[in-house]
Amino acid sequence: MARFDSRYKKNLGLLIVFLLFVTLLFVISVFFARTITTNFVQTDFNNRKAEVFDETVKDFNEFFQEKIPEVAYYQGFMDSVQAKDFSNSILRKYPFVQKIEFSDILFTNIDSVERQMRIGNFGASTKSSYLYELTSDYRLQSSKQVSNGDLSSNEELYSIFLKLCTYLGRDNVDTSRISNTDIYNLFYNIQPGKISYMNIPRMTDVLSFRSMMVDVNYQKSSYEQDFYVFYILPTKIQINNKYPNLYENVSIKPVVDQYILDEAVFLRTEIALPGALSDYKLQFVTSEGHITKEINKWFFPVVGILILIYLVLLLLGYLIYRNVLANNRMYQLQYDFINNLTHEFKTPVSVIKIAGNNIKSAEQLSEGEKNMYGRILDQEADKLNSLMNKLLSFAQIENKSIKFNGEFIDLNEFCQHMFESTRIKYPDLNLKDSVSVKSEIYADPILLTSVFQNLIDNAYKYSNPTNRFLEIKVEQTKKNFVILFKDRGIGIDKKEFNSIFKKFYRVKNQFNQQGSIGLGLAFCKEITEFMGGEIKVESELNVGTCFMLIFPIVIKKV
Amino acid sequence: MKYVRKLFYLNRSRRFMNIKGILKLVLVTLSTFIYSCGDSVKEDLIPIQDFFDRPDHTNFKISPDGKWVAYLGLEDHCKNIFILNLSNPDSSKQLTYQNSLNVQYYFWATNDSIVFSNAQSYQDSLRLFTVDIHSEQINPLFETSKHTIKWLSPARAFNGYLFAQMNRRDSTVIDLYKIPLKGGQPILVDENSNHFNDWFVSSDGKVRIALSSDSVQDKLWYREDENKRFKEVLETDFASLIYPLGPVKDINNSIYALSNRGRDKVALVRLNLESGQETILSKNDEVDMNADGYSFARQEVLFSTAFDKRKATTIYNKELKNIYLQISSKFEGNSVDIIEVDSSFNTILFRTYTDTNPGGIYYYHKGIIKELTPLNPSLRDKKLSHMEEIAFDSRDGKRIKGYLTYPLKKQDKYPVVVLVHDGPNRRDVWGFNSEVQFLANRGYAVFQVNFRGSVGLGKEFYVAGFKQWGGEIQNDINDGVAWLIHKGIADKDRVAIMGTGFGGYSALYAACFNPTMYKCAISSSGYINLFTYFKEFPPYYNSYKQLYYRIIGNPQKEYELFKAISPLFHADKVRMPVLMFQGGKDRYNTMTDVNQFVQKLRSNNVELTYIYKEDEGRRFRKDENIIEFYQNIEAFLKEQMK
Repeated sequence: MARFDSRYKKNLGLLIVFLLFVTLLFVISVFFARTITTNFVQTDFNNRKAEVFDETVKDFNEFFQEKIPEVAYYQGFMDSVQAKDFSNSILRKYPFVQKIEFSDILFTNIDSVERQMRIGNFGASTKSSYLYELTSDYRLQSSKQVSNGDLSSNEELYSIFLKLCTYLGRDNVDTSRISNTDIYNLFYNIQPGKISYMNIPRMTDVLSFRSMMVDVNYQKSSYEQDFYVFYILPTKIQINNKYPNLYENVSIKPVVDQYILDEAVFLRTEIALPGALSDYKLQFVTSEGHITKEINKWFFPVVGILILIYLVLLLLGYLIYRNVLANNRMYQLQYDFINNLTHEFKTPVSVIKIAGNNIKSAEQLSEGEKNMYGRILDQEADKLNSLMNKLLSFAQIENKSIKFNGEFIDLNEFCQHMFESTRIKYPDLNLKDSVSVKSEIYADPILLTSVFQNLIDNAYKYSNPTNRFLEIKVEQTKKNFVILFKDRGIGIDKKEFNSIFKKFYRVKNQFNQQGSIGLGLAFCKEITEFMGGEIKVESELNVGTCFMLIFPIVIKKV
Repeated sequence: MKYVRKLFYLNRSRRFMNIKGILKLVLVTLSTFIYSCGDSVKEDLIPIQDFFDRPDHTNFKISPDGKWVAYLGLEDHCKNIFILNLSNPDSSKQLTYQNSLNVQYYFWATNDSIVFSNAQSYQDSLRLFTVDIHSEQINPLFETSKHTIKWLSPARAFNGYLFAQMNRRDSTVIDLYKIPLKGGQPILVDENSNHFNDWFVSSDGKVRIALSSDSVQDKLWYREDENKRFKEVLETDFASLIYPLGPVKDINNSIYALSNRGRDKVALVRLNLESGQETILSKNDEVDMNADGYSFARQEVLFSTAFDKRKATTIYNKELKNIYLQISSKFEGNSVDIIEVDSSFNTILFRTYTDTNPGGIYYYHKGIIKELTPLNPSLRDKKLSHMEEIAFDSRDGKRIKGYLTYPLKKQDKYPVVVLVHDGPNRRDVWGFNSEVQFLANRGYAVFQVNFRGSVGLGKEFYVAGFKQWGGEIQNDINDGVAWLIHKGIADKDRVAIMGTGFGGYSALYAACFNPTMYKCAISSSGYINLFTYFKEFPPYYNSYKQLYYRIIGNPQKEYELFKAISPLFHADKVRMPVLMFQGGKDRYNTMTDVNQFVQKLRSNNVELTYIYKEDEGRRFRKDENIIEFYQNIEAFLKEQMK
């Protein structure tokens, strides 16, 4: 038997190249993943600081943009009681406000009123001044400030007063509104650590101030204004480190910091604080170990995914390999089959050839000889025919090219025919039969005959010639027809139960020498299932085998 | 004094209504033109400009002899004086030919001359002129100067002199002057020694009566002759009023006056200046009497009016009564308000209207009635909604009155717009109201409440509103809405609150504190911060503060109250959609406050439409801004009251 190894070669070299390639790819991608995550984390370190900054100065901005202008809501009507309330709420809410100085001031052109500052006829004086701060046990402490009438004692107020007067003294003041920049310039005075604010008067008040300053004869009047100085301690600002994973330590440090100790600092960045906080900066510091942790946090999942991809690739490779192997076995099987079949065909063909030669070379054929050769030729031709039929119909079933010509068959009648022909065919077979059915089975009579024939042939073939026995029982249960073929043949090993219905599989034994191609049972199974039934086997070695056909009862439609 | 100021307020606002720009006119004529060019299908929705157009002839005034009617008309894009000769229309003519400045106001000084001013605002310098109606000669009354002037009532010449009070000598002190009509320097009559606010001239051209006020207490002063000293006749408390109308004929020591001394409602009285005794001539049990109907020329009260269910006019003079009946019969179903009567009853100026008809201004001259100008003419043939008077009890049992105007389309339940009047020392009255009709035409029932604190409904009711901003005043409004809902009139899910000034304050207050009652709020220059509002009284008007301490509260002593009722401090609470209009020249709000408020609303994601007009004051005056104002209201309500 020649083997065509050239067709299905297992190329181990290719397999190894594939494996190596995939592994190389994996290693390279892991390397890149590492580099990219490191870069990513370091960029993040530099970029996210703005968010931390925003979060950190949020309170300060709220204080600056919402709380301070609230002073103006009172339009100068605040006195020490209200100022105390107001300061109390601010000091408790915003820990970075260290202390608050409140002055109830008077803008007036009345001569009798003592004016600490005066430009033209327009003067300002502090009616009273208070300092509010929280004591160490969080109690509000207010202390009245004693003014000594000295201008320089209230530097902030003086500065705002000067600015206001400069503004009022301009030749062309817009009488309808104060621009936003003017408001900022006039009523705010922002220095590192200090915010002074005077409540923004109404436009008409500003115009009156102007008249008071410019016009000597202007109505004697006085306006109360509220003036606040908020002392800010930036180090008390609550740092809200949104990214503790990135920044190991965020702190507020003076802008000028001469004593930087470079211990174990791997990454460092900073942002300057705005406005009244400007003498401090926000500093972000991270050690190498900390940043590595962060890098790993990103890196490991990436590697995980890469490993997964790698494994999937390997699995795919394995599956392809396995598929090739299966195909190879299939090919082997078919190859064997062709070998066997050739052999099967060869025997009758050579017998026919010998018989033909004998007839041709015989000068005269006796009656006996003629009969013998006739029988031989007839037998062998039948054998060939049956082989080809089997092969053909099996191929048809495999390709689903047979149509299921189902009809209702009376099993009693059908079995009688079967049994009669079997008894004629195998006179030495001890056939016992019992049929008890009421309904008609729905099946293809030709295919069903074929199944019967196959099973009967098998029972005959795989029995000891001295003990050829077959019992066929046809019964009807509630749902099914059950047809049993029970012989007392050589039996089948349990290990082979699964294999006997496979194509081209033959049990190896002495009865299996000729005329068998391993298709019979496979064929039976195919067509039984094709007709909607099922086939089962029970057997004991050297005792006998029982095949069971089960067909569902189909209700005949009228 | 307070009442008087209120009355002036009403007058001033009416005058402002009349003083309108040229653009408007162009716009209106243009739009009506377009409208009439359109198809003839009568639409349900009346265009906004039809509600708010203004007549181009305004300020009609009869000459003292009743022969002429003068008015302000537009010429060269400016308001100029025209005179109409009633008996001989052909000699009607234009008197002034100004092409850069409007005539701000004018009055008949004599039968032959008119005094007018072309100052553009009360902050402008004083420019006064006389014009002779025959020669059309225009002369300056006195040189242009920079102080204020207030004419004594009645503004007319006595023996060639006009009387006025001016702060000419000292800008902080108002003195009494007489101004020669032929031109020249004003002559000081009296230096103000007693904090007088008003002087009153007698028919012989002598000033015998004066009023002083420290805003809490008013005092009436009398002297027998100009060379004698003023003697105090009587004084009133902060809620009471005494207002002289004019002398009683032939009795020197008596005057006609409006007074509610010792009485809840203002009545028309005759006051004895020696004893201070009052004799009630006319009163109304429900409402205050109005300050009209006195004829100085005849020195008698011809008629009196009061805003009861509708404006009630009672005529005392028989001759005038006959003419009035004659006129009224021509305008069946209309209210007829007398604007002016000449001394001989030859000529009468009057206005007609109903709640659904804006009517017009007419004159009667010797039996003939002619129209001078229609008011909102494009609304005349339109079907509009009736205004019904309603009354309900507030939670503390106070009877509150108001008006309800239903939209024309009948519904089970109406979406309601609560229109809160300004003031609060004002009131809503029955009559034609463009704003109300506009809202009703857009499908909303309009609810107006004369909450406590409104004027004209008696002293007790007025005082009940003191220190009740955001308190009982707001409760009255809310109780009215609750009453409407309870009666099944209002759809409780579709109630909007809207107003200007105090009304806007009330709307904003509701936005902060009555989130369940109202669907949305519309505020036009509503007071946002009462501290700022209070600051509007300059320090040299210290006396005013005393009054406002009573009306609102003391911002220094009661700052907690001020904080509690100022919307600015509660902007965080606003959740309902808000439409806000703000004029840049509104003196009661600072832009700092408004911006803070708007920012807070925005940062809380409140649905806010904010419209800011830099050159407008508390109320929008420019036509295009008025149209935009109502367009926004229409769109906003349509969106929110779905």
